[in-house]
Amino acid sequence: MAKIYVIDDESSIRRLIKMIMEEQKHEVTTFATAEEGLKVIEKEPPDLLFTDLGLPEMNGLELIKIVEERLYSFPIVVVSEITIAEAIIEAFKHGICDFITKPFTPTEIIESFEKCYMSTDTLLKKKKEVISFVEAGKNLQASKLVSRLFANFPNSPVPHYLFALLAFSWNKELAKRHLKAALALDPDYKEARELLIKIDSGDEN
Amino acid sequence: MKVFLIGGRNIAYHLARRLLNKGYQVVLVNKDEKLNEGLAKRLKKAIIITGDGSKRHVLEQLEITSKDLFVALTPNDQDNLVASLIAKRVFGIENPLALINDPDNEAAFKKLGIGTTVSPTNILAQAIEERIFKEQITNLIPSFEQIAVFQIEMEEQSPAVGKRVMELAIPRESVIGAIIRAGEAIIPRGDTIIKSGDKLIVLSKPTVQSSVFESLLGEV
Amino acid sequence: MPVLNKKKSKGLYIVIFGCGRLGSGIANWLSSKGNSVVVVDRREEAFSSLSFEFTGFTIIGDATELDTLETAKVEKADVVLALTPDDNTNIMTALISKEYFEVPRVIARVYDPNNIDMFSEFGVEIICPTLLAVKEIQNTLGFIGGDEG
Repeated sequence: MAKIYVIDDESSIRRLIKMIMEEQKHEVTTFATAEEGLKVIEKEPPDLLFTDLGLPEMNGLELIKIVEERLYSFPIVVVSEITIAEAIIEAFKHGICDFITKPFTPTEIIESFEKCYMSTDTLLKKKKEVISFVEAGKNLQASKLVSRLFANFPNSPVPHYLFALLAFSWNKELAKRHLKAALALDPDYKEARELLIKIDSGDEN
Repeated sequence: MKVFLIGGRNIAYHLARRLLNKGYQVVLVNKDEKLNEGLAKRLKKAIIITGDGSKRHVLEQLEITSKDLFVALTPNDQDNLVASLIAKRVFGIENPLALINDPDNEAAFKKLGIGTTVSPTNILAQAIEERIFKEQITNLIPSFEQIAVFQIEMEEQSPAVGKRVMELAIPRESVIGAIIRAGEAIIPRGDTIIKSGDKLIVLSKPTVQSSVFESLLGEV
Repeated sequence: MPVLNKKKSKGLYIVIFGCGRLGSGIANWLSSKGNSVVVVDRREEAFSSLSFEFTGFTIIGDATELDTLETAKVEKADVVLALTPDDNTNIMTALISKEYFEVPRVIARVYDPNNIDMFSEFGVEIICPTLLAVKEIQNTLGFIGGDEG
């Protein structure tokens, strides 16, 4: 169950994407302008954003650049009537995950969601986000993000590793358990192995 | 053996005239009664029928046999398609000819069994392109089939001069088959260097030929 | 790598050519049932017949141009409906959708009953209002004459 935001100035498009993704049992919130969407993103970022490029006032590309600047880790799928190569390339340059042209089929929306939501790229971005929270001492935010990752990426070793990073400072046994779980899922996970060694050798850093 | 011309105005008239001069029996089918009156006066030997040539009940009155020729010339691709399909499936004419206005429809018509199509748009487009590079390009096989063969003459300032064949930015769907240099034919290899004065014999798919011209001769 | 089940949407992708009374009516209905509907018409004014709740796409285009079918993504359609006022246009759109784009279900409205048989051979479903009306009238008039029907 993912948290999805949709930004499009056409109500029929908002309704259509909402209908398609709610049928897939996700939670969907829609916005008619980039400004409204941004306000809510700042408070609570989604797991994935569908956005149009042609929006009143702030357009989709500007929004995408802001998301990129602020290092948000959620993937963006652009849904637009535009078929000009330059516009599409520009959007990809600023880190979007996928581009769907209108009209679109329900299958296109669903497949794009699955490709981007579960992409290695997204997971990496989220990993960076958690690490930056941990380094800044924002443990509450970090642990919230890690719990989401456990839910959304159940077979990945990365949430276990990140949890271990969090737990490292207050419960080394718990951290060790998660590192072992991470290594069970991926025996070649270098960072997990290194952290485990660190704990075992009694290093307090 | 009769030739049936469905629709069309001037094209139908001129085509009919030419065919009649060669001794063919020609039947013109057209919805426009006024036009038909005019045609009847000018084409005394032709049979002129007023009716919609894309309607089966009209065609059934014309005693069409599988040995006859059938040409759909209306300005509407959909009418030409339906008329040709009736000719093929009801009367057994193997290769009805359809005029297509939208060149993109060629592949779709083929898929439906109408393989012989003529697209004036394509012919004109080709002619226009050739006009742009007129002096340097000779179309060796003037046709609108799947392959275009050109002779392209290299001049001092042509971007391809001085480059090796493998360095040329020509599309994948094209190849330099031969180079005529000082009266001799060379079959080029990847490292053959293009010289000014060379006549390149180029084969390419028609869809990429303008890219080929641009790469070898430069922007217009 | 985590794996999610490939979930298919129960909503279909439907392309309708012709936004007249029939086209717009069907479009409104299909859209209200949760399908993704694209309506194509040559005239922009035709789209005003679509209801306020219509949650689909509109494209201004000519059904006889291949480009229009490609813009409407006909190759991804589950169903194509050819409902323009012109029989031949409907036949051409239907045949190309069926044979060239391999759309699973294609339905065309054709007024002239003489055209039906030939096109059914291609697997296109034909709706002939003339014949439907004849049948209705026959039913209404009941058994007349010595015909055992």
